[in-house]
Amino acid sequence: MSDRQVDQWEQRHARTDRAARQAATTFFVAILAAIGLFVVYIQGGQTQLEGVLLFVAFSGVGAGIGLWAKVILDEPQVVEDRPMMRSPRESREAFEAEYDETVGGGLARRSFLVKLLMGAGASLGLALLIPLRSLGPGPENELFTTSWRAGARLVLPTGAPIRPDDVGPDQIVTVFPEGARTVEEQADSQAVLIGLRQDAMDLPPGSPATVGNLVVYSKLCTHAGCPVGLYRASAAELLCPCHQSTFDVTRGAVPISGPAARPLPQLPIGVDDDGFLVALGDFEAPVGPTFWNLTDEPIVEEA
Amino acid sequence: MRAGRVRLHRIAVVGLGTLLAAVTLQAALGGRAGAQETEVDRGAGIWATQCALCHGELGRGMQDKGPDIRAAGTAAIDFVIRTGRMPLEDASNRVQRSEPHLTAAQRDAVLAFYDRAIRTGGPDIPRIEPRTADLARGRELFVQNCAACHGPTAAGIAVGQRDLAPSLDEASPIEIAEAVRIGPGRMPVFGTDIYTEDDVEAVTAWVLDLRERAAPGGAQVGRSGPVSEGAIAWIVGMGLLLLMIYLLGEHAQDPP
Repeated sequence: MSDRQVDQWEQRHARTDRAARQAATTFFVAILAAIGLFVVYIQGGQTQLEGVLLFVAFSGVGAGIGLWAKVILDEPQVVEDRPMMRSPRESREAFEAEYDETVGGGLARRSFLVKLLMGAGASLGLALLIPLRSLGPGPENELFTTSWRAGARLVLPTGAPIRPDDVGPDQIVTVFPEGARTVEEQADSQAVLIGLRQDAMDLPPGSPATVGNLVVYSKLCTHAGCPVGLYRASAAELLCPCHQSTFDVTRGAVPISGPAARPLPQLPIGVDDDGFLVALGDFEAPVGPTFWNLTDEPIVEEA
Repeated sequence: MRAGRVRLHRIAVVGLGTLLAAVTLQAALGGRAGAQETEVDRGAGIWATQCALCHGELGRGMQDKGPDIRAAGTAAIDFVIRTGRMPLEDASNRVQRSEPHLTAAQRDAVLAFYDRAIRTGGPDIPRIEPRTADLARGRELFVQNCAACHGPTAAGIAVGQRDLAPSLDEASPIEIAEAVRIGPGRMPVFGTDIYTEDDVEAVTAWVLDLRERAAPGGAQVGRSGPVSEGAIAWIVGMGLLLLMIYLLGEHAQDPP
């Protein structure tokens, strides 16, 4: 053995010794962490601490195995050549003949399977035609009307009717027409009843009827139909949470910012013989997002 | 003889009655009213130094300084003092939550004075006991009335321009109930004719329940629930893992 080889051997020996010590340390740390995990778990558990201990334990085991494999067992890699292992010509030909006779021929013999597969494809295509039905007939008047009728009481989500005195300044209440029970009936007629501050009301001429300082608007944003649920009371602004369309409640809910192009439709209200708030008709304009055959001119706010 | 005895009897009865009446009156008016007066007096003193500069000695408000708060109600006065919004050191400061400037005793004195000498209306301080409230009703009310601005988990969100519906994590139960009644800042009012005291109690209990939920994962991530927390963990964790695998592959050496 030459001196050079002895040097190499000694260096390698020193390296593997060091790695073995490191691997032993990591395994030891992993054992400590695992015992810690055991103790914490028995003590009643603490999720974060358990996670950390589990991490340390797994990392220790992983690092130890890594050192073991990469350094201690680092033998030179050997590649062994192997010859092509092709079957002899006769056996290959025999296999091909047998394949044609059995599996290959079966496909042609079972042509009804192919036809059934085509049938399945065609049926799927037929099912995909169904959505075409939604192109007609048109929804007629549905988009222009809601469940509000003249004389319909304004009720809370609990069904309780409301007196004008119940709603003071800076208050907002979601209301529905009395008797609207199904989701379809309630969805397009949801409205907000808002109490304005004294003398704040500044509705444009020709606006629907109001009671005292109370106004009622559709709760559906005229942009994308989200519920306009944020009322900035001291500014008397309704804000839509979806795209930040803002409506001035004192001036007929005209849009003052955001993508909505037309005001929230207002509901004409009055008081019935029993002193409860009622609608005097449907909304002044179609509720919700603007659609293709809505003829109203969009109202543009002047600066 | 007989007449004299009767007269004596009458004198005795009248005398005893007068004495009894005087003692009762002393107990009813003198003692209790006296204690009350001192608290109102102390409140008047604090009012004069802390409130009157902007809101006036009679709470009528002053031009460009402070609003008329006669009809704000005891709940509003209690709320702004409790949450440190008032008194402001400088009228140009922003009105926002901070450490309370007045002690509880000082606050009670101001409230006593306000209630006696200034108040003309407005909501009372709600009496709530959230521990016995109807949580399901509270959740329903919260979703209908509060979630639009404060978010479904009461974590707070932006509500247009420079306004923020705050997180309700810091608010004490009584502050939550008072805010519902008075509508501080941009917030609307939820009045007593539509929402009963039980409703306010229920919604307060729901907020407390929301924020007292355990967070077994450590970070709550806006209380957005296990699905979104899991999604974040997977995306971030998996992303880091993939990055590490990629880097390991980049640095790996081909076998000799």
